Amino acid sequence: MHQRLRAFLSGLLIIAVSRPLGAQHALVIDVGLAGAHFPDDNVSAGGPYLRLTGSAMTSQLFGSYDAGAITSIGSASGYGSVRAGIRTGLTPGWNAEVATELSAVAGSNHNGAAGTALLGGRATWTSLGWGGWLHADTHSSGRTNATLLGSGADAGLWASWSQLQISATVLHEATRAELFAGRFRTGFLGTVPVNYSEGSIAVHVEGDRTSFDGSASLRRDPDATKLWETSSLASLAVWAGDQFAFVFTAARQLPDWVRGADAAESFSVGMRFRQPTPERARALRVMPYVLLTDDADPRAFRVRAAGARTLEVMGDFTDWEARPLVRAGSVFDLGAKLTSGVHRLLVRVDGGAWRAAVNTPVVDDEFGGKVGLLVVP
Amino acid sequence: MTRVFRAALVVALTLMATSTARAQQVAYAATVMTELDSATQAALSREINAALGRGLPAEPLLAKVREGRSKQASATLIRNAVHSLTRRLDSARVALGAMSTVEELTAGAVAIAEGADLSSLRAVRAATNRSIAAPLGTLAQLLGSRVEEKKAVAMIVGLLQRSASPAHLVALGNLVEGDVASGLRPEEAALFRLRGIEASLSFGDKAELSAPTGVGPPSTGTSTQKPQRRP
Repeated sequence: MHQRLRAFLSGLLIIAVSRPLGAQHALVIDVGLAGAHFPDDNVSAGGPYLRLTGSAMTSQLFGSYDAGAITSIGSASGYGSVRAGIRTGLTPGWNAEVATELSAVAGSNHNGAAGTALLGGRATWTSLGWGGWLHADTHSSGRTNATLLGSGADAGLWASWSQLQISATVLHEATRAELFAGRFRTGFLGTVPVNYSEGSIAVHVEGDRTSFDGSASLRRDPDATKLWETSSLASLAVWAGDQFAFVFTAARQLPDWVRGADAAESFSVGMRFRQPTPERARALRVMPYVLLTDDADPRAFRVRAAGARTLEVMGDFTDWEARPLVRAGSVFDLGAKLTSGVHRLLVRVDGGAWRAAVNTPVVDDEFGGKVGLLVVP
Repeated sequence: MTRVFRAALVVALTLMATSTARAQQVAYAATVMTELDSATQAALSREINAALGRGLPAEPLLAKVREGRSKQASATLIRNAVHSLTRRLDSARVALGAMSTVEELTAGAVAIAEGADLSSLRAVRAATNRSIAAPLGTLAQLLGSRVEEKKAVAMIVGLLQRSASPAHLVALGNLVEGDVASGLRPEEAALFRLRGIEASLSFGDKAELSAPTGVGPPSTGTSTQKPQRRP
């Protein structure tokens, strides 16, 4: 039975990689059916799954969790992962962060249990619409027969447009693996070093109610049967409601030597709840920025909001009534000037929620909410 | 005699204008409060009329009522918010003087809400004869960015004494706000940006706003297969 549980655990990890890029929500729920083939043991397995994911961040702290369960007749398995970190600015554009991750898998048969702890540091550089990072970590993983230590480093670049995101990563990993004489992890012999390098590219494309995530990677592992190995993933989400989507995923996954997931070929069909449509998510990603510094007209109220279709403002200068701004490219114009001093205001992108512009400090509004402050020279 | 007559006429016209403006404000206040219950309307009218009687401007108080209505706040929250704002405006007026403009008092009230002492407002007032609405807004912004109050006041006063424009001061507040939001320490960000603005003043510039099977040890003979490394 334990090999089948192991297969299920790996299946959970396959599901885990299908999450869309850049999602930032308190709780997203996935349910559905998943099936997988594990070539190392030449077994296949499948069953219903449930997965909960979420993430949150403040200006300096960030965290995420990922928990899932999969069942089959007579057995059940669970997977959980928590990641948390702190970020600080170095110079404008450059940030440094330290993060730790704890993950565990467990099943109705203890042979499947594994726990991994990672501690890493990252330096990131961000510009308008693109950026890069350098990252290194060290990790320890408790497996059935041994504790495995290792470390890794990676570097990457990303670029983002309104409906397209692309990222590329190169990494090197130096860790250890358990060595077995037979199939299904029987006949433990000891541990051996694992050293490999990998390059990957990922793309995210979205419409108003659909999104596609694809990735491909190439790994060079001198100790593997094949020196060069490939993996790939394709995931399509189609929204049928404001926060409800059907998700179809197919993946060919290489072994995860750090967290203990086997190589697998998998598919899943499921439903995702509590994730807003790409159109709504884009509105949330738009960073409205108030412009008051045009030399020719220093007090004209304009807002730069790349990717926004409509923009409204309300504040003390509109008698707190919503006023639409006129669009000219990515800049929206109120057609009115503001008096010198401090103004309170909120903006709304594409009919979404009222919020402060990114460059207006946020203060309590004394009504249980927040409001942005704008100082006009 | 003609001069005396003219002076009396100017005073009379000024009083009439003031009286007319106040009547307009009271009438406007009535329209702002139409959707509120009668008890709240009465309480707010008393508060605003009392504020007007003390020489406070009605505009920020009416804007507060409007804001609460737009956000569908409860009558209690609106009354409390207007009362709190009245107290801050009173304090700002004490610190800034009876001749302060509406914009200055509003900015002063915002700075007080962000934790500014009255002595800080007085220090900014004493630093220049020009309008201090924007400098007080910058003070509020720096305090909101967690810059220490004494340092924030010293920076603003220093810039005003060097004849920095309101745009320079607003740039300081905006840049520090952005730096702190991206993780820089408030004091470092403020000092860094202050130096940049001071340098631009020196040069007369404008402020820049802007598991594969592997090869392992020999087999123990427990299996006919080659040993496998497993993740």
